[in-house]
Amino acid sequence: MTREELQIRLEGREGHLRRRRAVNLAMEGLSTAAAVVAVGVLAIVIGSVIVKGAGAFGPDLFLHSEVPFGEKGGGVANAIVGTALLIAMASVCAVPIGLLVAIYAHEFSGGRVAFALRFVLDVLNGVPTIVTGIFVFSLLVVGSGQTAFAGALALAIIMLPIVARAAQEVLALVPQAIREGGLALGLSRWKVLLRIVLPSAAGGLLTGALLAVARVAGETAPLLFTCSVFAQGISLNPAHAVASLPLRIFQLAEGNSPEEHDEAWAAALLLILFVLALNLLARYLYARTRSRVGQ
Amino acid sequence: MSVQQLSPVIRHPLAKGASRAGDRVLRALTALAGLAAVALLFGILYQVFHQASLAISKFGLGFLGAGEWNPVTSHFGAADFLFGTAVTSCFALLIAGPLSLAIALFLTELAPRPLRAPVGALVELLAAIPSVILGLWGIAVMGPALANTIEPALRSVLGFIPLFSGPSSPAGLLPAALVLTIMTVPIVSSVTKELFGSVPRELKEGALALGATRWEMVRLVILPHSRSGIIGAVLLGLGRALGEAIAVTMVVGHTPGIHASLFATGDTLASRIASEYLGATTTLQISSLAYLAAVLLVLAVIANLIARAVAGAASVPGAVAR
Amino acid sequence: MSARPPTTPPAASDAPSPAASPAAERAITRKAPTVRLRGLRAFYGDRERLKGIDLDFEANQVTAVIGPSGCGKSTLIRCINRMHEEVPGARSEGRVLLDDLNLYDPAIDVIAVRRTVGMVFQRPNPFPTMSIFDNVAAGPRLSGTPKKQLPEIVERALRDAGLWDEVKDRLRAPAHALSGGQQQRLCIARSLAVDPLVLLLDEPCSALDPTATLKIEDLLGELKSRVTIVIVTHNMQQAARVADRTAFLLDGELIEVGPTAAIFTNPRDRRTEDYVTGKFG
Repeated sequence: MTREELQIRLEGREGHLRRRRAVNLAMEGLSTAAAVVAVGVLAIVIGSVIVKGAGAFGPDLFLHSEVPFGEKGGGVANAIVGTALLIAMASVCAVPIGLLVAIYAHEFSGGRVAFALRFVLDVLNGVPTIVTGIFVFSLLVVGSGQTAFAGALALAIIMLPIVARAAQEVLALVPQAIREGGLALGLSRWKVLLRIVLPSAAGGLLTGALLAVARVAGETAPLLFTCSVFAQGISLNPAHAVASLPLRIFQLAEGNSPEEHDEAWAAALLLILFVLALNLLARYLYARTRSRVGQ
Repeated sequence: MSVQQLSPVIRHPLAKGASRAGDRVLRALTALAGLAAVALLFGILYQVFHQASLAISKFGLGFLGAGEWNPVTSHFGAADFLFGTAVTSCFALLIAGPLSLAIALFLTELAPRPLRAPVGALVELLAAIPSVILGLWGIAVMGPALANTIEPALRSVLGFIPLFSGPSSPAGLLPAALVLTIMTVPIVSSVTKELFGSVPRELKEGALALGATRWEMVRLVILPHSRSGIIGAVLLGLGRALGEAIAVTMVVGHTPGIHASLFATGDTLASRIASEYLGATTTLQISSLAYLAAVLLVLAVIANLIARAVAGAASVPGAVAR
Repeated sequence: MSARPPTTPPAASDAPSPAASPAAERAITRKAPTVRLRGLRAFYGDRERLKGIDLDFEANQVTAVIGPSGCGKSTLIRCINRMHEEVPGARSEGRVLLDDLNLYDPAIDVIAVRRTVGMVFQRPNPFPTMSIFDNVAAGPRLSGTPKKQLPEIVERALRDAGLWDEVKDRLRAPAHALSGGQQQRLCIARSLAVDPLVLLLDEPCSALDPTATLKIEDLLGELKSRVTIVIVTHNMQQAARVADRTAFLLDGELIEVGPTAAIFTNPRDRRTEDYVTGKFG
């Protein structure tokens, strides 16, 4: 090969290379476009909520509850309180059980049982939330009426696989050496778990719980049949149905008056801020736990 | 090696009595929880089918092919809703699939490094948007925009295909499919992102050292390596799309009937259940709706199972990625 | 590990001796370029791995690069085919010349560089989802070689890699069905299929058994009639067996380079002598 030939080859002046580079550029462009589309849609949705919800977003929204149709000055205070109640009840149920399941799968059982449990949890995760609502409805609501208990149970069922999976991941991150150290000191298994493993996994567990809460805070379908017929005032009585933010948005959106729509957007803004804040917090905690435990 | 296997060696000989009891209690407690989870799954399956049993015994499997849904005459059939579910979900995946792959490639290979984490986080935030808000946005913002701009454009260019003919309205199968696309993309892209990130470096280097461009390396190494995982990811997204009730019910228009056009209104399994269940009057109607729910449940679980079978347990996204 | 009996004990006590002279002259069938490194510095972030290397790899010869772990030998050859820059945060300075063309010149296309300077890695890395044929044909396919020329190119590359007889009846079999040594020769064939002028090998035999190792070493002796070869190795016996010249690297600096026999029997630098006699590394 002469020097000229070598130079031509190395400078990529042969025909095919230029076309390959063009294809490469096109593919990079397409994938960038895809990312732009995704981020763009996110921006548009959140932007719409902010723009349309800002109007009715004021103290009225937080301080007042639903008012009879036609009256002015309504708000979603009852829905905020109701959501808080539902989330609290659901978490009290789902987080401990999810943690226990994860502990069993990771610490006490062999590979096969752990695999089977993970399998069951994954399938549970894939159950459509509306079906969960029907399940709880047929169990608790038929005959007795809707209650916040029923709504919270439906939410707890949705939270369970999320919490359990996150807990499993975090437990797996805790180095085996820590456990062995505890056992070598003569501590029994449950003490090692309680005093050594769980504290170091606490951050990740909190993250899992937060993510599960963020997920169900916005769920409407499971509440549709279990906790959707509620009074207009603030109620903390779990034996009756309570208002909830996503359901209220749903009702307002299906309403006919522009005031209802405005309120729907404002409530949506509130909900989305809450959910996003929870997500970001969970993300931040996860990153911190990862870097700490992973050492 | 599990703790169980180590502990007989390490356990202190004097740790008996209360500590051992504590271990046993903890073990029993956690085993109970595990059992509860399993019982829950089977409980859901049983209960839904139990509720549907009246309709199942009355209509049998013909229910799935029957097109009429009339609470007045008590004739119920799932065909329209199966159609709506199929159309919206498949359309959503047709778009979300390639889109998610492209995004995953962007995040793992083709984007400048400093952009990867922030853009990845933003894409995952899409999954955090509550479905009721997407439904609201769908019917108030996207639906009208579609009906006024894109649908007429599609009709004028591709109107000869029945898919794109017919009148437009803010509600319909197309907005529903697009809303589902928005919900599915974050799932599929985060699973495939993990997939692409786990391709061994030496395989990628082998292609690059041969003189491949970045895209050629993706084509030669990353995509073939991830083939089954991608299918699993798409199936996972399908499961999500099938089961979405609220966002779809807000934009789909609630008119049963099988039409050839995407612009038409329609209904899906999940959204019909959502809209009619509470107002159902007769036990047969309730049972038929439960039958719809049973079908939906079976479809979603099958999609999930196939996803796992095809791609292994790795196909399920981690808790944070959800 | 050598299957050949050791020859006369060298002057420097335990240094491995070159068995038969690897420079047993084979006719040069194609004049390959000389690779010259001038002032080559390589960084991973802020850490300087190569601290200014001036080194020549003579045309149509096998040059071995030896040195203790972490001395920068892998980094060095990765700078030659510009794979170093693929690592995030990595960069390099200086010139790498093929005859007198600087591979880092902005006018030069890095894709073309990698076609001209081939690389074989430490662990065999054939494309797992592809057949033997497709693996070897991958490179030519990328360059747009017409389909009907492929079988001939593949056969020639497999013959040059010494693998043809073993696989000619099962070209469509998946690559992962081959043994480790065969896979590595497949990777060599894959690199040869695009007709490179220089071949870089990064400890190619470290994952292989002695028989497979010897097969590959024999290959190198034949290949140098057409390509300039640079082989990184931590096995000094191997360097003694295959290399015409040897370069000794320590802590990112070139300590000594010269004919292999000289480096092992009569090194000029104290550090070289310590290394080849096994005092460290």
